[in-house]
Amino acid sequence: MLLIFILLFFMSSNQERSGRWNPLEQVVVEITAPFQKVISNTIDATGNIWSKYFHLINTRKENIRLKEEILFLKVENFRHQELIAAYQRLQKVLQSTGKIDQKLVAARVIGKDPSGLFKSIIINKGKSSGLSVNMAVVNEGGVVGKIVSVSKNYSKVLLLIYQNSAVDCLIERSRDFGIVKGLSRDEAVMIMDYVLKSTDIIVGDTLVTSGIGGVFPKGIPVGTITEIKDPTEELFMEVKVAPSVDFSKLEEVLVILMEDPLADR
Amino acid sequence: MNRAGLTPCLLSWVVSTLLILIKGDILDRLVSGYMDIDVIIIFIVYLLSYRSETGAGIFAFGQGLLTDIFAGGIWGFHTMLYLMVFLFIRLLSRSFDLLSTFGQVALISMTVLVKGLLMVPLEHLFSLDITVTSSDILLFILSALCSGVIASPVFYLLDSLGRFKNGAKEEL
Repeated sequence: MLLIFILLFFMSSNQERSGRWNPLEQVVVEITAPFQKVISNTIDATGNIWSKYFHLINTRKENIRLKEEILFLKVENFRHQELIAAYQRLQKVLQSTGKIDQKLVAARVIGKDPSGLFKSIIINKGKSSGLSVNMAVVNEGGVVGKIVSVSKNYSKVLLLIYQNSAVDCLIERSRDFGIVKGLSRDEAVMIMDYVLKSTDIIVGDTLVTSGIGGVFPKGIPVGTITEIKDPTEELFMEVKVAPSVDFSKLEEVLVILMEDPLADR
Repeated sequence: MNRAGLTPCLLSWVVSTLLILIKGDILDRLVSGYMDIDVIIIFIVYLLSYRSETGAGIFAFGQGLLTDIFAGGIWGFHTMLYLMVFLFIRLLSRSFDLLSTFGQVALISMTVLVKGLLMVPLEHLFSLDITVTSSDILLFILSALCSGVIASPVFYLLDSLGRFKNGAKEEL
């Protein structure tokens, strides 16, 4: 033992060595190194598997999170697209109703007439928004109808195409008067009553509200003349009108806030 | 009415009310308003056949009133219409075996057809100028047949639900 100790002492205190292994050391290295290599590789491999496993778990979690995020963003995108479309529609409404002096309240259509007979819609604004019976309802096309029932947060609007609805109109070009009525069964056709044979009217003329009656302000579009018949035995002409509003696609409407013009009648 | 009978009744009210709320949108997508599978009539006949006569009457009145609330036009039109329909069913039910599938289909089909035809003079009474064409008559008949056909599965579902609830209670 003493001999080995002395030997090691001299070997370690050898000043002439410059990092090179002596033969004995080389033998030891040559014998042990393969084991070291195997152990090292094993450790490395284990480490790699471990880290890759955790990495995979993290990737999976990340993948799920990203998928959820994509789904959320898609839904958000749809919502934004819908909001942009609604904004554009409302902008058109505001542009077309720029001539209306009264305050306007925007409302969304939430329901339609369950009977199919009477043309009405339910909107999501009521007394709490200042709405009351007989207020005019318009959209970007023109006259939609008027409010017939109102609760705290909802209102029922009778559409212009209902056959008992009527609005006093004038022909924009010739300034002649007539009354436009709905036909209920056909949403795309209305009739103009009390048009005298002497009236200056042609197909394509635009009809606007006359302001008479007080419910609808003057100058809001109602429709366009599509057909004129002049029966010889009748006093008035038969005039068909295409509504300026597409009643099958009502989504947002504007209610014109004004005092009930029929309240004192 | 026992508690087991309460569930189908409640379900009838809930389903019928929900259908009234969405019916406008559904009808809007159809070609004609006259094409109408009348679930209210199916439920009235069910309540009259399997539950109580008073319950069926109240149901007809309530659903008519609810339709009037959400529909524009003449107030009370649908309440009156469904009460007349109830009386018609009450009268006609004596001639049919309401516990048989044929009886149910026949009674409901006839009632839906009569309701459709009844609407025309009623609309004229309320100064509505409605013209009924031959295609409208065909739609009345089609609505009547469709309503009759779906009646049996609806009856079966409601009755099974009532029995299931009853069975569950007895087990407890």
